[in-house]
Amino acid sequence: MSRLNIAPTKSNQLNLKRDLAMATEGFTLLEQKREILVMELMRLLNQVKQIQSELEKRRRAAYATLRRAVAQNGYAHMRNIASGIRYEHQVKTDQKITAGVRTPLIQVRHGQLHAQYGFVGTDSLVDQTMRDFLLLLEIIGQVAELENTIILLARELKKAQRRVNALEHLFIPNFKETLHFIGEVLEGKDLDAFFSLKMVKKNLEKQTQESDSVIYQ
Amino acid sequence: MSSAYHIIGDKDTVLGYCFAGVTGEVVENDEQAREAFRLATAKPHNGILMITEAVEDMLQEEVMAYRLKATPPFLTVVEDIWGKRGKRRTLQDLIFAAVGIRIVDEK
Repeated sequence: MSRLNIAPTKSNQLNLKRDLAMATEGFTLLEQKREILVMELMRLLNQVKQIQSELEKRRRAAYATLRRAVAQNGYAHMRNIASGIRYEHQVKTDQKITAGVRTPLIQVRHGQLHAQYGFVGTDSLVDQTMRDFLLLLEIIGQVAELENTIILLARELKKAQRRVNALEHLFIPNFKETLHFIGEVLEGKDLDAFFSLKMVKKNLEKQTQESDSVIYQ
Repeated sequence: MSSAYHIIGDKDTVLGYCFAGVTGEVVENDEQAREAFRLATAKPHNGILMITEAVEDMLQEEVMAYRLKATPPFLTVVEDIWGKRGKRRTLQDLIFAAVGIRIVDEK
């Protein structure tokens, strides 16, 4: 905690009081924002656990099928088959605002599984690969939405946390310390002025008394 | 690139996703990955851009900068076909790090 380097004047005292009030209000608002972000992230945590376990299951299945299919049919043949596969997937994106953070909303509509190649030269592993990867793709939209939302919210939370800490441990104590110092200095000055006035008054009274006694004599 | 799903990664992973009708770009080094990423994100469009963990490792700065822009196509990282590339920070870890607490399951 340290004092700000400003002159101890009445106007600076007023300005600092205003700054302190604003910093305190900002601190309260940021605390609320921090709490909202923490609650939102904790709410997403359960969703993450569910989706990630489902993703892991589908990914393992799809990747294992692909490895087997490539081993059976060869990479070049698989690539030839894949080059002819087309699906009309549709992705719609929007934005949602949580505690001032714009996070994505992703809606996906996937193409339906249908035969994309001839039966000659392909086996059931190829069909299984297509089926498994389509299932995997269905969940990737949700994962993308969650991943991006969490990264943005986590970053905003860290930012809010840093600001809350700066206000709580640096700005507000500094303002208070400086206000205390200015208050003491101004009080000292007031006392000095008071004593000077007293002295002047005393001297004036003394002079008046002396001049009165001269007149009576 | 303006398809609904697009993937940038090694040839095996890209091949797999092509079976689900995903367009893909095979990259083998940093330069190719950077160029493919630049092209895929050059024009905003409704879509999802998948990159493999290897590509994410190659373009860490670009990937983080792009994520923070929060514009479509939205990015997601997928595991390489040959398994995880070392220990990676999960979304749970990210939440715990940001929130500053860790809930441990009782065994």
